Amino acid sequence: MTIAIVGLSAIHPFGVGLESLREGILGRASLAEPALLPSDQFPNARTNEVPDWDPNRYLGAKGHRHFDRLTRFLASAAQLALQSASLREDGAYSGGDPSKVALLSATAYGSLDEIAEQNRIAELEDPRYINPTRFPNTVINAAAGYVSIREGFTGPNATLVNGRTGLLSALGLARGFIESGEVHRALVGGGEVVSDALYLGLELSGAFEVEPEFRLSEGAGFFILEAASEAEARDAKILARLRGERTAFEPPEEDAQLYHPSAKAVSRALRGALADAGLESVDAVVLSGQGFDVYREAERKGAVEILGGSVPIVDPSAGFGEAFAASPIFALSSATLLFHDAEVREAVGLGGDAPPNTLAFVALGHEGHAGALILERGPHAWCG
Amino acid sequence: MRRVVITGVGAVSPNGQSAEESFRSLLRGESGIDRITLFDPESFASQIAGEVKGFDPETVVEKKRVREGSRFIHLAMKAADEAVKNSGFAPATEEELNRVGTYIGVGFCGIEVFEQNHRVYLERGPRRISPYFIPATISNLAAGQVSMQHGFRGPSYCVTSACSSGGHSIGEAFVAIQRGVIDAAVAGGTEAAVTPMGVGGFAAMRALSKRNDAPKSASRPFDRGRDGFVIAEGAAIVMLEERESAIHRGATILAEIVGYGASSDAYHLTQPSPGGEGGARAMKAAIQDAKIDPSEFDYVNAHGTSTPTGDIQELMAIASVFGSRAKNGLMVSSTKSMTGHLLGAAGALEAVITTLTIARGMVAPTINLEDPAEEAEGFDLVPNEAREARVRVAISNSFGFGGTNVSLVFKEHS
Repeated sequence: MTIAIVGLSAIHPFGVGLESLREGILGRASLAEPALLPSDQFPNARTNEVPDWDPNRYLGAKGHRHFDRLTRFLASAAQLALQSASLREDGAYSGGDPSKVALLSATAYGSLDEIAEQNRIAELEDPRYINPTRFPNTVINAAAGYVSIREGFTGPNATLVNGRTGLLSALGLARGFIESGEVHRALVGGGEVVSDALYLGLELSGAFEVEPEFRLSEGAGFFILEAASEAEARDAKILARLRGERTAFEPPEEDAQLYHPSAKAVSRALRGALADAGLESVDAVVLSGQGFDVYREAERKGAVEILGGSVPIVDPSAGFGEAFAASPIFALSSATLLFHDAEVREAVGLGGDAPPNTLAFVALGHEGHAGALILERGPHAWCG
Repeated sequence: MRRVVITGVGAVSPNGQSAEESFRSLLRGESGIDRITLFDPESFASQIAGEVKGFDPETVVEKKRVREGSRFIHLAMKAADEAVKNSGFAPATEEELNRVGTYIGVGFCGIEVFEQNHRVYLERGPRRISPYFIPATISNLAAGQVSMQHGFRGPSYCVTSACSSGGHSIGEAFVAIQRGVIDAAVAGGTEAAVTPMGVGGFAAMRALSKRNDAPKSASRPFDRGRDGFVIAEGAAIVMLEERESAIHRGATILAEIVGYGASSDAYHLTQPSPGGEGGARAMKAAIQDAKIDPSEFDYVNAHGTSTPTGDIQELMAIASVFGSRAKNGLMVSSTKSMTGHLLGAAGALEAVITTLTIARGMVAPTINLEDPAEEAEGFDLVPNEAREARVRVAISNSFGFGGTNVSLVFKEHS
């Protein structure tokens, strides 16, 4: 069964939506000044934050008081993705049976800001003062739960945690649900947020020293998937077709090694995805916008190992910063632009004239996880 | 479609440090609940939990490396080690290892390490935080460490859906083997949230039992006297293999997994949907997936957490799914009456229990069932004593915050 991507959304460091994502890729948009972290503790914070973020614009003024930043990102992104696919009318899902919709969301860290806040209350005040309406936000899947409640989706709902490659794992699961007939459609995406705890953890791990250009980023997005035959039957806009997917894991050579930029994991995932698609090669490879050079090079090396050096490799979202589970969302959104947007192709070094028919998308996680997708150009350009 | 069998199980629970020890304890009707020892609970409304007693992480990692991980990771490693060893599964070639997946869910991340480091941060400043803070806390590192422990190189990740995480993980591994993405997997769940914030948070929600003076009788699913769940910790893993290859290598097959259903309530973040409608849909989906008539089921391992609302909604859901069978020959027990609620590991532990129930022909009871709730009338809740019975087909339910529901169907292997 061929799976089609019929809608998408992206909330990213250049704004909300594909238009601003495009401007970011083209270098025509600038990043906002860091404002989320307390300046007394993080005087020179290197963060790429979603600019002018106003959830009320998407969620209305009421009904999201208990949401944390991640939940607001995800709820807004789900709504925008459904709208892009013309599946939301009069404030509600309009695509048919809501029990036939799966919601699969990826995050590497979840709501660390909320965990820290509730723990601060427990530590500095009293455990009895933990906020009972906000404590559930500390459970990793809470954000996806709120999205399902808002949109009324009663199909399978799970959150995938797999570092930077959760999106790829989630896409595989969504495909399984659609192919089995358990659902007709799936929202697959995820998000990540800038938080004190995450920034501090990265600082302690030496991330900012190792990589002078490293910036912690944030954002969210969703892709809407359904069987290509069903999408065609209802005359939906098909942005791309998912021809193959695979994930792989390569353990580090030494047990004590914490991080593992494994080109081998990338090549195994890519080989599996190509076999799944029944293809031997593709027209170009899209990397996942790594925040660290060593991982970007591992992605590149893994792709070359399978496809040789003649297939162009591009990294359209390289300037977005490291947003962990959200980075592949920015990159995959960018990949869909490459099919139809000559100016973007030109800007990323793919050559503007001939649009690619097939793209391989690869993403590598920091512990040795990798995923690969094979995309085929759909008949429609991205929807606004 | 390829068939999937269970060839090994592993568990570290409040009732024992192996699957066998835990299961035997359950058959004796023993409660693993006691007063909390992992921290001083004196100021907390709920002071009891199902702790894994005497767990030594050095049984799975070297002493010098203990601080690189956290309790939820070490518990998972111990349970996975047992499951793999018991199964006799030993892939030899790189290609075989490439086709073994690792799917381990958790509801919270490494919350105890987070709390410890946050305390350090608040008291002594950011420079004293452990450099292992991030790798010890992130959720997918249980799967990552287990993959490394055994060299499994297929898909390795964490499916998290609060208290149904373990069920979801096993379900996804089952589907991946069915589809031919992989040939085998270790799958399950882990949790170590008996911490000040874990207990304080659930207590603030008034979700926990306050029977502090009687911990052994605090978890009492379906009983009129139930007053909330008892938080617990542990890990459980099943070794899943494609049936033909398991038979080919002469594996002992404990049970077959034949159905997986998942649904979402889309109703409330923490309350079940009225009538247990969401849970019923998950059960129906799993039963449909298994292609087995509801009348053929012998046993339900209920989610049954001992909360006033949830238990009743689940019984309503069981009644709606199983019809006349629900009160006529169908055994329903909640082993949380003895283990407490292992949150993200609960579904996995109950999958292990259900597997052993089928393999051994012994059904673990619902203890503390002294005065069944009115709504429980007519159900066979296997009260207070284990029962010898052949179980051909069974279903295990897991429901979680966020309104997620998972059901898994297990079958006697033939």
